[in-house]
Amino acid sequence: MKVVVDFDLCASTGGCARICPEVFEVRTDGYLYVLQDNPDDELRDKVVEAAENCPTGAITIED
Amino acid sequence: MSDLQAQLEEAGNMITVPASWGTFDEFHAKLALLRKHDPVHLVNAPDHYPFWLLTKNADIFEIEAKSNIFLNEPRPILANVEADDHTRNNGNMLRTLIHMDEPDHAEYRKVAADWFLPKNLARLDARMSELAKQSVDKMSDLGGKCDFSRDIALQYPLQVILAILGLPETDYQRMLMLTQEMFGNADPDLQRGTTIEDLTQVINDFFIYFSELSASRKSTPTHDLASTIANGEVYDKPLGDVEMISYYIITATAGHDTTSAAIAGGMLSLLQNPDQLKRLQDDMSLLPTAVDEMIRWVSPVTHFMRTATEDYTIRNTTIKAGESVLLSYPSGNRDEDTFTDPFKFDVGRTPNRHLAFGFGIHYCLGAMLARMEMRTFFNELIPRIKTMELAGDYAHIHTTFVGGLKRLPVTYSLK
Repeated sequence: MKVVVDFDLCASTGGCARICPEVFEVRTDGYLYVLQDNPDDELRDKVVEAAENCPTGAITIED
Repeated sequence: MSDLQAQLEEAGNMITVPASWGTFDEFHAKLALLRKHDPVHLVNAPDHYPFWLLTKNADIFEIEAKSNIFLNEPRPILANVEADDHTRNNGNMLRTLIHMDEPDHAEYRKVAADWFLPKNLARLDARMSELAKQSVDKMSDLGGKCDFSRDIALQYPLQVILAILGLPETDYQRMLMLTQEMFGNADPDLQRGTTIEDLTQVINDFFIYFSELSASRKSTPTHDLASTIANGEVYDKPLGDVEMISYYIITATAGHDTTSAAIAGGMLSLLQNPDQLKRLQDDMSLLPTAVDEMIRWVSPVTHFMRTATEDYTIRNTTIKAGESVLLSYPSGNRDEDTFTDPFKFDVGRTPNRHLAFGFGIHYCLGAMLARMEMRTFFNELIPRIKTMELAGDYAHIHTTFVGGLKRLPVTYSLK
């Protein structure tokens, strides 16, 4: 699983970081950081939930 | 009924009474009681259809994340029986993003979404700084004394959003009045009247104004949000009349009233906590966290509602299909299980998991704009404050929906 964030769309809402802190982190500089580009499959459900709940649709998952 | 049960019932009913928001501290004390003893609380208040009142941060988050089960329609905002019946029989007067679910919601949100992305907001920086400077200069001109809420906090965000929309400055005051009449329709000082007919009249006035605007932007598009909406398409077709006018109304109104409330309420919190004002003055790098703390503290949007499409269990309570839940953002934003010292106003609070902008697909479209506006404004004001104090009684508006201050008398000396 490969996590791709479109940083042109990302508004740093932090929702993804709350759902899946293993992969997403919004730092105090206001930017989103992807901690793992290729997370283990056991995180798939959480990454999918984070992507579905992203209000700007900035997160996509490539298999 | 035990004393506690009676207190919980009263606390739940309070949500339906516009005057309770005006009691700010008491309002929050009652929400704390519900969080502690009955976080999923059934409200059977006079003159309202029943609903479940959710007061915990984690529960609000969970429900908003389940947007496939919990829908905005048919009951996105709390209304009394008469108004709910009116909507059921006649349809909604407005159809905005908050009245929509998927797939329509995503399709309509796309129309204006680009305007609110960070990269595009950055282009507004210079104009916003200019408006912020004008606001603080105006405070100077007022001679050391003003009603900060009415004279400053209500004006600046309106100027910003109407500049984005591309409306002429001559229309600002008209728009301000209409917005206040719409959101303040439960407040005796702001309302035009209390009946459904009165509110319908306010919305009709908006319709007339924005119909003219959209006609002009269709024939002569300019580089502004009004033109984007006027020429917007969903499913490859032009926006319908109701949806287009609703889009204008939600942008113009939600785009300023909430930010005004956060600026005025944030200012009040700084004045009530002079140590925090000093801390910010000494270290302006705290501004981003200070702004989010103001937003948490005020939580201008007091709720949204969702209706379950299937049975769903939360904290051992089953919400049945067809039943509605009310998500209390002010409560979720003072949840003892989410925040350290939730009743402390802390300009350096990190992390700050407030839900003032909601969560998930309906997350506030203008959240980045609101933060940027507040940072720009306080970045101008805070360094110029020599002294600033409360100068009399402040007052919160009466509302069950978007709350804020209607009066905040202050005295000050600026650099």
